[in-house]
Amino acid sequence: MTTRLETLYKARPKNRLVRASVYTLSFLTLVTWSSGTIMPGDLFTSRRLENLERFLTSDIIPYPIRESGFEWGVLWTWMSELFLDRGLDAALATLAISVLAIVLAMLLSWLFAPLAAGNLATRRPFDATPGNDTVLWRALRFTVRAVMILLRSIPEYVLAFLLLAVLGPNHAWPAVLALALHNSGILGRLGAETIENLEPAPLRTLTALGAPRRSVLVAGVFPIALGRYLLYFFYRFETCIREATVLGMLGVVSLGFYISDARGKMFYDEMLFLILLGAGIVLLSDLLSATARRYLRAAS
Amino acid sequence: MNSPSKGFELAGVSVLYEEHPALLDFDLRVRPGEALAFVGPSGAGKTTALGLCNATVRPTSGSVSLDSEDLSEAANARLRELRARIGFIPQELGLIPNLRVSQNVLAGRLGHQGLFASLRPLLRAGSAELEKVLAILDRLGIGEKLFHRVDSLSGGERQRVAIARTLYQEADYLIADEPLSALDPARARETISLLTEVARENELGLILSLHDIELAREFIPRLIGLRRGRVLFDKPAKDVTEDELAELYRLEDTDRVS
Amino acid sequence: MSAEAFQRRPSSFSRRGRLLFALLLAALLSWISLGLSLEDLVPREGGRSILALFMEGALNPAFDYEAASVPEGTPPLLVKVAGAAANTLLFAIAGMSLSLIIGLVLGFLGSTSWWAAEGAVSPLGRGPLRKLMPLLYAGVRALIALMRSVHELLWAILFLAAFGLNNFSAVIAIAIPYGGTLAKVFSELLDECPRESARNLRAIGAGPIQVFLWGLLPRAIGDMSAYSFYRFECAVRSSAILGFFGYPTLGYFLRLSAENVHYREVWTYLYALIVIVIVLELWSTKLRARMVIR
Repeated sequence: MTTRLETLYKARPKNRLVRASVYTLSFLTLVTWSSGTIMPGDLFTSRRLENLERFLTSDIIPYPIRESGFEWGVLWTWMSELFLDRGLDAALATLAISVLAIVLAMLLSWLFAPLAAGNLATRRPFDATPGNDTVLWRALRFTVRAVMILLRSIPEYVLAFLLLAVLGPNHAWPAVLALALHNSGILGRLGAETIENLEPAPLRTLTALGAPRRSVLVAGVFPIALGRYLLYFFYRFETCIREATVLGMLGVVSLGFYISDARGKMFYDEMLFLILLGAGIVLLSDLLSATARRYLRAAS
Repeated sequence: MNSPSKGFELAGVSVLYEEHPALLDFDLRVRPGEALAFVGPSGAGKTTALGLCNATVRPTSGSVSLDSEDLSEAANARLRELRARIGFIPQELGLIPNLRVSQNVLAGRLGHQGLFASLRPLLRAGSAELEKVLAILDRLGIGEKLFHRVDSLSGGERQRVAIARTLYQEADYLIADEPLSALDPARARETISLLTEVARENELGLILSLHDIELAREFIPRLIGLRRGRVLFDKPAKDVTEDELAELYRLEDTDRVS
Repeated sequence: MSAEAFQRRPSSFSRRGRLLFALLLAALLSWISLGLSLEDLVPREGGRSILALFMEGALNPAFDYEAASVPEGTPPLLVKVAGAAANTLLFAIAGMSLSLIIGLVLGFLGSTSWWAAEGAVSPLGRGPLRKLMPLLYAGVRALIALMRSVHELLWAILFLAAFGLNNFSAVIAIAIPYGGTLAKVFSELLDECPRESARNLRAIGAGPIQVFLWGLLPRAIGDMSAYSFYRFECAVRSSAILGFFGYPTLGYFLRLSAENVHYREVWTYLYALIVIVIVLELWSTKLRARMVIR
């Protein structure tokens, strides 16, 4: 390398953060795989392979088929009995839990978002002049943001586990609340970002005309931000259904309950069927929310 | 160099897009090292004519050949080799904004390289290659920007990066689609004089499409007037008359509709 | 709020309004079908005392074991917490690194940009087999959908049943659904990224794979890394939860402490998790701001 190239190369614009992140993550990955905690080879010991063989060739074969000497005709009866006996109810309960939870999360996030948005939660909304931000408003925004980050950093599963101990297992509230609280933290942040990215000019006019904060929010911010917010909302809805399925494993009546029940009894054929049923619901909800998003996009 | 078989030859070419004619019965000869420009209103077929020359548009009928080799009959691999000889700068420059200038210029030789040979310059270019790139950039006055990201450059600097890529490509022809659009008058003049100069110095054939007729007349020796897919005139720039220009840009009801 | 009230608004709002109304209605129906009552939201006697312990623990997390005596040779609580946190990160990183590989391969195969375009590459060659490309594409899309529609915990219990308890199966339980999600998002990002540089490279003779590597991948890679980092955050949470099924991550110890009614310890583990997630979130917000492509 000549000196000119070297000087130019040394003087090149660098992004230290990106560089440091790449190095840190590569290093952590290296440490992870060389730590000895995770050994891919462990999976292929003869005992585990035997276990796998039994699982694949016998455990997950529906039992009437096993009993009847591989008479595949009874498969349909077995599936429909299972479906009508518990699958359908559990699937509907899963759906109900997630719908109620996500709507509650939405309502909560409508409370959080305006209080956390940097351009709205100030002395005079949508005013960029200095001196607009006071310590009190800053403290309010910080508090709301802290609550939201706390809510979204605790996984739904852990929240539900803790709520179950407090509220008892006889109803679906622990699952509903856990999903609603966690998602309100996420939707609240997305909502606040949506508000912060709004075009300020028309809203500033509203405030300049002397409209009180309340009416700016209801007549200005809400209708404008709603479209974008709902797009995010339906992305979260998908994940919410996935999680609702699983929360049942803690003892609430959703698909997960029967899945873990079957697992406890080592009825792996039944377990697999219910897991696939859950996958079906998730795919269906994917489709549903994709349709809703398209419906929304067509509106704007 | 001026043997009759060298250069582009388009004979009786028509291009139809879904029955809609973009170019009709088009004949053209371009000799190596020649500079010419297509002029005419938008929708006249200028971009299609350029596309024929860099083998990205296939003629519906007629033939396009480069150095007596028919482009439309070339197999994919051969087509790549031919395209590698033709530099192309689209209107929006076609640079990769989040890569460095060096990488963008090095991309010029992709057509000459195999897949694996082309991976190295993307990840870590050798100093011999970089020296070459630096020399080209220096000639264009932006050597200092060698390791900057393209999206941090000004519009004029980006244009130079695009030109540098063609020079590094070591192409025989430089085709540029509306290189002056969206430039202010001073910058437009600067750019076209740079293009013609670079082409002359490197003995590149220069094929442009322009809509600024005044600059075209000043800098480009040969003009081809296109109107609604047909050639109105093809003559030295100094011989183009005001009447012909009026005819070229004459408004018709049907023009306004389309 | 009634449907009629919404319909009097301008039309673009009425569409959103109708959707909103439908959602509220669905939520109400869900409430009824689940048989929920507001009274159940108030904890009973036992629940109240747990709630009190829980709240107390939040302000006063444990730095030492709550139990009066612990067996000989038990490491100090904070060492245990650090170990669990490290394991949580290890499982998340291992899962993420595998899912990145899966996501890149399937994301590439599942995007239309490289095979549907003119002069594009085909892993099935240029012969008649090439006609099968749409079939391969559909197969990849179906695989992606299946992988991500089963929750990581359900993959985990499937692998538990198939292999027994084993750290690597927890890692693939994360890697499969995350790989599917990454593949879906990667393929969308690749399909949506601007084409002009790719088209230009093709015009100067670059081959299809070169066009992909130089013209498409660099343009999408900023968004791809930002999204992967966000998924890493999620992977940490998933890895913590896998502890509930016996893996040595935060969830395992959290559950044990909760079952022993040691809520101050529960909070120590929770805070460890919260700190990790917050650090990652701040990190990724900073990174994302730097990587916006324009």
